[in-house]
Amino acid sequence: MKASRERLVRLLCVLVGVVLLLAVDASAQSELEKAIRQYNSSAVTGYIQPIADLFGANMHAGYYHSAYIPPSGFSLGFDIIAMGAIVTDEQKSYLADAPTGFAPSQFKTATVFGEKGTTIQHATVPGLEYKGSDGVFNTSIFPLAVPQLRIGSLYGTEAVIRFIALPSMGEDKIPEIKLWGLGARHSISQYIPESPLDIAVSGFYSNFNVGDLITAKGLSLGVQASKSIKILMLYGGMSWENSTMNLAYKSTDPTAAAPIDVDLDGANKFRATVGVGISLGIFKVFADANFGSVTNYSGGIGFGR
Amino acid sequence: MKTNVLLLLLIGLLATTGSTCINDGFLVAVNLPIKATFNINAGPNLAFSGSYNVKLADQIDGSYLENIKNARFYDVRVSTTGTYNGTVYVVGNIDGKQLVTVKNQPWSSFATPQSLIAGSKLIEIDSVGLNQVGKRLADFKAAPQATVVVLSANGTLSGQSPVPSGLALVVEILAQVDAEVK
Repeated sequence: MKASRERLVRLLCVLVGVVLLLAVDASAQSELEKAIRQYNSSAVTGYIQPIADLFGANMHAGYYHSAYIPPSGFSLGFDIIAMGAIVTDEQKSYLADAPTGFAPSQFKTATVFGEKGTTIQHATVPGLEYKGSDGVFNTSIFPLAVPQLRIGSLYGTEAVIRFIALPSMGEDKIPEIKLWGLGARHSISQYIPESPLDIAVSGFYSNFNVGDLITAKGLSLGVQASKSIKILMLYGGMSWENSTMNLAYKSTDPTAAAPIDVDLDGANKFRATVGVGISLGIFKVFADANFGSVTNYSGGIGFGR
Repeated sequence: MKTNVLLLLLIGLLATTGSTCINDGFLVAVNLPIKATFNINAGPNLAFSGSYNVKLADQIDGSYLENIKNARFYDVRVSTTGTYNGTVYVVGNIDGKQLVTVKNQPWSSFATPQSLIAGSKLIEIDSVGLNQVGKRLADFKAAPQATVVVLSANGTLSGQSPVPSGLALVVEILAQVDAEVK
């Protein structure tokens, strides 16, 4: 028992070290940030909104894979969670505003998840053209990954902490990403001795920074239940959540009122989760599907309780 | 030890997941404002003029300069700053070719920019100047570092003398370039 706890602590140290090594402070502006700076506040809203929706859904995923929380005693768990939100066809284009006075006044063009930006010609003045940027991401699933620590238990309550800092990726096309989350879960089934299910309630706060321009934050409040059958764990839950992505930057658009400071609300407000896990001693593997305005999936591996 | 290696590999894989789904060679529509501000001296002289060299490479992020694929423009605007109780007559040129003319219109009307695409009746646009804009944008695409545009203006105020301090007339060409991000 002592040897296995030492192994677990050593493992955690290695993982924390890796995360710190990844937390390189890349101050250079990424290509995504430079693309965003070309937009004024109304145009950037449509271009970036899918990121607000998908980040919002991803950052609330994977917080639990069981509703069991011991009523007392020290417990420690470490998970590595990967999430992926489905990018729908509707999220690949949007109706953009053309510059004031341009005819047509609106046009359909690529979002950050779209393909080619649309070029429009002025309806009456020959030679005048305007264009939206191309999409940056070519993917049907928008991914995120984060390690998280679970520490308990005090009166059937455990704390959940997640943090990751990633350097810029794709030769600086995607800016550095930092995410941290903090939450707590409390066992309800401890008050119901004959409960056939483990039941818990939870509250989580997440904060996400993408480069210098984008900040997202969100809150999730939920209830979850699980049933352990030998090595199998079936779990599910429901939660209310919100997320807001803030964009703050100085636009290069000469018609823009500087500085730009816009809030984009994530689409997901309610989430239903169903999942399954396998527990082999201190090693666990789990996966779940999350349904709401945005469909996303999460899964991962866990060590510890 | 095997577990540690597996975890390191997994973390590395997750950390790089985001880079595999980026469009290669996507085009960013970069704003290229070509702008000159003609300050008007205070005093009894109602005539004003000026000429500015605008190096187009200085108007956008330097990292885009080697990857410009297209260039276009979408508006010409004239605006004023400062308060003047009178009218303005001005001819704005690009590389010596007439681009925009304002014929004795109230100075105050230009506190809000008057634009070509909004169909302003207060400005007249010359096709010779528009063609020159297109030509210079093509030059910029071919030789970004060498392209310098000359914006000049000659004008006269009337209705209030002497000219108060703080007046300026702004001529802007709003353009875009497509910069490829590889």
